[in-house]
Amino acid sequence: MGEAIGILVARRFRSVPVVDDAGKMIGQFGVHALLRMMVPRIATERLGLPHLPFVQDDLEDLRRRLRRFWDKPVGEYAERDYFVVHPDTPLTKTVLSLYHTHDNLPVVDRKTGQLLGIISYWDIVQRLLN
Amino acid sequence: MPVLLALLILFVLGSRRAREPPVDPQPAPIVHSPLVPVLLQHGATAVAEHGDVSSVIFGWSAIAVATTLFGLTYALIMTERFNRANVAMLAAGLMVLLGVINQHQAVVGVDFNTIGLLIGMMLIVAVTRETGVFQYLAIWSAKKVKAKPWGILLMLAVVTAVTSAFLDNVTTVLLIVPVTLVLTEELEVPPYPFLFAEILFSNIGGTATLIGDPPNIMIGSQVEYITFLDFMVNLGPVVIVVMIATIFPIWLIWGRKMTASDEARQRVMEFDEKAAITDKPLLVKCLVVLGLVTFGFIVGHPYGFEPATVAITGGALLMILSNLGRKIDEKNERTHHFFGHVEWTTIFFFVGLFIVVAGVEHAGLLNMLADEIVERTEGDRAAISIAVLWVSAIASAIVDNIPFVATMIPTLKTVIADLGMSQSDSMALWWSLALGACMGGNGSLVGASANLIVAGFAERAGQRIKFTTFMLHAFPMMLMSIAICHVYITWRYL
Repeated sequence: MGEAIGILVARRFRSVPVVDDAGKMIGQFGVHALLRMMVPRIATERLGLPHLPFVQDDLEDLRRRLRRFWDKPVGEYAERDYFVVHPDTPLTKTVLSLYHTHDNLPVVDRKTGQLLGIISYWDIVQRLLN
Repeated sequence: MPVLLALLILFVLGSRRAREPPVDPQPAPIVHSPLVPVLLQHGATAVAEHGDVSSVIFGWSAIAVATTLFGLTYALIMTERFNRANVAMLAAGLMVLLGVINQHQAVVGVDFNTIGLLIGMMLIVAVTRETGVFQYLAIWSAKKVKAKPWGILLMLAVVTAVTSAFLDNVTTVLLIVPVTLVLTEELEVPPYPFLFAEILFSNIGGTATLIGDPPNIMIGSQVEYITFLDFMVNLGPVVIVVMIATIFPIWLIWGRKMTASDEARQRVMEFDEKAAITDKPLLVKCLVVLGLVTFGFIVGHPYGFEPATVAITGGALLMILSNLGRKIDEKNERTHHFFGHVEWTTIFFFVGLFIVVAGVEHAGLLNMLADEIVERTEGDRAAISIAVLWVSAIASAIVDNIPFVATMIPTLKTVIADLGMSQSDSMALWWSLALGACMGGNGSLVGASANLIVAGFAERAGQRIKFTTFMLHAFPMMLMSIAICHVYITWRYL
């Protein structure tokens, strides 16, 4: 987890794909999951406590909560609900997915689930401008 | 194991009767819910048009099909490999498709009074939770015991029991469990003992009043001569004794080993409970509506206002009050948000379960069980009371207590009439049913709706409560509580 957080912070990615040993995509880890780890878990769950005005905490408390996850494998906390595109996905559909997710999209082989690359909105815009 | 044994008993009873000459299946008691009069009228026509409904396909015995489906449903739920609501809905569909019951009987089998009560109270909770009043109460309690884990568990258990007596159990756990999870996370202690205690105390506390638990609501609703005060006076004392007795095993298993670091306790002590109250004007509206709803529960019954009507009306009124002064778009959005907080998975699990039980009931299985009780007790009031107490408890731990009580009420009414019992003599039977069914709900995770709600919370918070683990701890404690009730009933009424 610590390594994944390091990559997110260093490269300013919103999320990174998580793959298994065979390179098959199993989930996505990003700032959303990262922020969730900094607060009591029930605050981010349905029917939980969306606001915690009574909790008087500081930076050290956020760090303490995050530290619990630091040595855990990222696969355990990767989000399973994510958008992907395939090499043959039409461009309009890809742009719409980028529009909905505000994030880069993993490109995954349709048959094997193998991660082939990542497409960003900048990739498309740059091609258009060129 | 006790579940399997009980299922085996049910199956053996079913097989034995299946070989006997055909028995006319008894119709399910029709719940005169204000929500389903149209369905009832329509259904009456449907039965007239379609005739007998227990014509099971391939000439299979209705009782064998119903028992098999019933057993498979519970077995699949126990494996925890499938979503409970999916299993119950599929089994419900099969009950109709295989011809055990028809669609009309399936719809009538669903207790819409309970479904309406649950939805109404969930809506009220969805609005009330925004005020933070229960967070205030829980944090205030935690700080009163200096944030010691065992003290917090005790305080939250008592708060849960008292609240459960006056709100329904589901509402109570919906309010108490989230803040419990925050407290245990900050204390860095496992939440399971706390959630376990809250489940048990919500069911025990709910036993004390007519409105505290669905079985009591049904008994109070269908037995005309029992009042709100009767429940408190007759069940209140034994509920207090059971609460005290239940504390000891919880302390032995978890309490004595519970510790939290000074640092963690300090974090909880720094919680500002006053800051938990986020919207005072809304809090006033919620307290007014909750007061009206409680008043409606207490006084509505003689006027024919069932809890579902009161709760749904209260939910609608509170949503309207909370939206006052806002633009229509915002009102729509907030209403959509409140409805999103209804636990639809739980609601549909109940609907499916009601239909499955209706199938078993129509096939005659549960009635056979009740008949067996009367036969074996030879009409002796004391023996019937004690048998009702224990059978209700065991059955309520396996099947949901609501459909079970729905079946037992007309059965007991028949027994009381047949034996020519006076109203005062019959009270022992009703209190036995109430105590057995309410406290029996503690025997397993599917024993009561509050149990399932807590399990749902725990799962979402990453602390899954396993069916078997819960039963291993809860079932013996449930037996202990019933033993106490046994002594109480014998001493006071027999």
